[in-house]
Amino acid sequence: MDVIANLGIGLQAALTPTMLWYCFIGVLLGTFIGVLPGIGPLAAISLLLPITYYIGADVAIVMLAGVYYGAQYGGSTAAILLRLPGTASSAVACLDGNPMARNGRAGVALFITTIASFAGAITGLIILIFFSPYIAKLGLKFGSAEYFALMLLGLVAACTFSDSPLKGGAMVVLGLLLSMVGTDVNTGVIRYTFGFSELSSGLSLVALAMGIFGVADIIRNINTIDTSQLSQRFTLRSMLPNREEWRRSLPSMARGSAIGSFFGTLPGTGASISSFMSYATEKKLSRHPERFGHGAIEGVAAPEAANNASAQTAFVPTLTLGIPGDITMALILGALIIHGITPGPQLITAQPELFWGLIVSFIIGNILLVVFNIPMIGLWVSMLKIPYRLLYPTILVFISVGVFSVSNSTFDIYTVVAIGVLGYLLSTLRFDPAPLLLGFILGPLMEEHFRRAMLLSRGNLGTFIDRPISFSILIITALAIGFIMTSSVRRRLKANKTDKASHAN
Amino acid sequence: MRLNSPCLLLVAAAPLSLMLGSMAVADDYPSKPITFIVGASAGGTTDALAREVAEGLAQKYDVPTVVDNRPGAGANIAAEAVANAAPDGYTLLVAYTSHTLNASLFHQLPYDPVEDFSPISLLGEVSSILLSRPDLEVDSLQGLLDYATEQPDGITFGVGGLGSSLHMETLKFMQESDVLGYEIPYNGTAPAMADLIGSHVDVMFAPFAAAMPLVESGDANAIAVTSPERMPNLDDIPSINETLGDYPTTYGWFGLLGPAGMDSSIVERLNADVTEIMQGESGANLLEREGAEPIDISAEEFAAFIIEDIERWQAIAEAGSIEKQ
Repeated sequence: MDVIANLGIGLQAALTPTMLWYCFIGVLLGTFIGVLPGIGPLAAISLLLPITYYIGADVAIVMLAGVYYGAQYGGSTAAILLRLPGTASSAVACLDGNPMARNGRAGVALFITTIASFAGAITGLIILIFFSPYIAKLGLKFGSAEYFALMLLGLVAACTFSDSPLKGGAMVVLGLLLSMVGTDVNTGVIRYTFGFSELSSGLSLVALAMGIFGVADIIRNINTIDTSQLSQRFTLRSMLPNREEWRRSLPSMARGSAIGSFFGTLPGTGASISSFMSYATEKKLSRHPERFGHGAIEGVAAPEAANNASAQTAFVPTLTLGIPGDITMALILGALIIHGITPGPQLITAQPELFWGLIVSFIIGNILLVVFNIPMIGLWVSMLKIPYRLLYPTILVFISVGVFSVSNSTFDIYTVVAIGVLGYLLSTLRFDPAPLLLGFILGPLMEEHFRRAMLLSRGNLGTFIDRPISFSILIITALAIGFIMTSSVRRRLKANKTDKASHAN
Repeated sequence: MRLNSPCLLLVAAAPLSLMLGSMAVADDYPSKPITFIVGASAGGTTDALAREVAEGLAQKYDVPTVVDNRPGAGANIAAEAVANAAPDGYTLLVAYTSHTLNASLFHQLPYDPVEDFSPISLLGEVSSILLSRPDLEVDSLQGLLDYATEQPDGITFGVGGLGSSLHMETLKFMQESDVLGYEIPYNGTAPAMADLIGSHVDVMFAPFAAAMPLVESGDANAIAVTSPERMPNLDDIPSINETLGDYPTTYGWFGLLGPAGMDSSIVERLNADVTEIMQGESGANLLEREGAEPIDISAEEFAAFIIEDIERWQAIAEAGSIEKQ
């Protein structure tokens, strides 16, 4: 069989000591970068890129790719333990991972994220190995009309993150408004910057995520938290999920892997959207959606599987078409171009040992990541034993360093402070931050695709209905809105009834 | 000329001694690390050229060289940093087309692209290639123009980044060919290419390095190159001139500049050494891969080139009624 022969080529290429060594370095570095909130793979890869001038193309890309997917593993650690999301995808891990940690299940949450990450990555890899040429073409069928419909579905899904869809919707809108700050792609007009040139490329996503989750949480915790509750003893047994937790998380991982594999192949959407979508799916499918947000293990397993699956399938458009899905991928491609290898449709046939060697290195890298991450769990969890009065200044330092490192800008540190205060106000009013973040991420994409779809159709709104994929997604969106409305009305009626019943008594 | 009068000798010696004075500075150079500031992120063409030059000079001069990537604001951040640096030859700018183009795009630049710099060397010039979507059944530029006139709504042009040289190329093409076209802006070349091979836009001007693999695999059709003649290594793709007559080719370019007021002997020495690096084997390979043509011109000619190029973009931007920001 072709695939087996190809994997054979890959094994020969990947199992040389140099390749293994750089794969090891890459995933190790990725793990640490993932754990440090705010310092993402982008910063790490741009620092490493100059080094790749002095090593071979194959080892360079194996190392950089290792940083890329390795960072996805550790990404949720700080989010779960300290409610500090460094990326949009790890913001989802806050939602249920952090409540789990507060309930003394931090070890289990981290264990499940590692397993879910592995499951997601392997699913993504299987798809990469068997179907790359086909899905690359499928992704191209998605034009702006389809992307817009997909983003709309994402926004509707975001409203369900909140217990009250109305409050969730309000936060989505606030997120959309915040996302309008910056330069308009279509005209180059600079909007809502109030004369701050630092805002001309928009508010920093990392500053927003860290401010609205991390800083807001610190303000809230300073007077209320009782850290003695959090200290607990850690044995391997306490880290292992119980049977019930396994039963709940395994199907979630499978669904998350599928959703992530799909989104990863669409250039430009990436890991963050896939993890939000899979979280919304889990909440929708669950028979007890009210458990979500209070430590539901499905809400940790599914998004984690999704973002790792998409981190792997994101290599499909990058390697098979030479079209990078995000800036980080563009840098990884840059490493190939530096060495005179032009990524494109011929890469697989022209450089089979490079392509298949890379794929096999992904498998090896993911196994290494599980081996690294499991023993680290105890270490990370023991961080919670640090008294909060010592912990929170440290967290603030990490937040500042992380936010600063994105674009070496002190302005972003002021942003994180302002957003933190806003986040605290919102949380005292019981508004959830997650829908805001999703609105912020989807807003610019949605606007860009809507306007492009309009330009391409010369202003004909019918384009969203005429195109079958876009039309189908819009129907799903309409169904989702209907479902949200009926279930919220039903809940209110039920509440009224019990209210009346209690009055009658 | 014979010098037989002591008076004349004195007159001749005065500038000579001045020259010797500056020679002493130039002899010293370089005695410490040289920093190359690049207004683009690591991994792109500008960065690759900067590293080629930095590496080459490090070997020639036996001093460390540093490449400092400062992307953002259309390379204005990097240009401003160099404009304000000491003109001692230790802080240099690896600039690209934005250096001459930004004056047409911004009301106010934090630097003067001519007065604040000492041009050193033009590293290379790039033209671009006009691609059409794979299912558009035209095989020549004339065929494309005919197709466009048949379309009541005209055709769509993918534009990889507002205010880029490829955006200007699109505007100029529409002006020159009188074709009814719509610009569809994208956030960079990569997403525009994705929409071209997915047949969501009709045509686009693309950089060679990214375009050629897709042309070879049939995922996009090559219509014409924008250089005045066919490219030597791609001689089956016609030049745009063959259909449009005297198409005024505008090139994207990459160059090395220092802050204004650099010692002319250092500038000349750098010009000669950088030219040698770019003509060497690895420099030439790099240029060929990026579809760039090596250029051997003096620092003065480069200075004149910059002034002309600013005017060239100004004319295109005005004709295309680009609004300044």
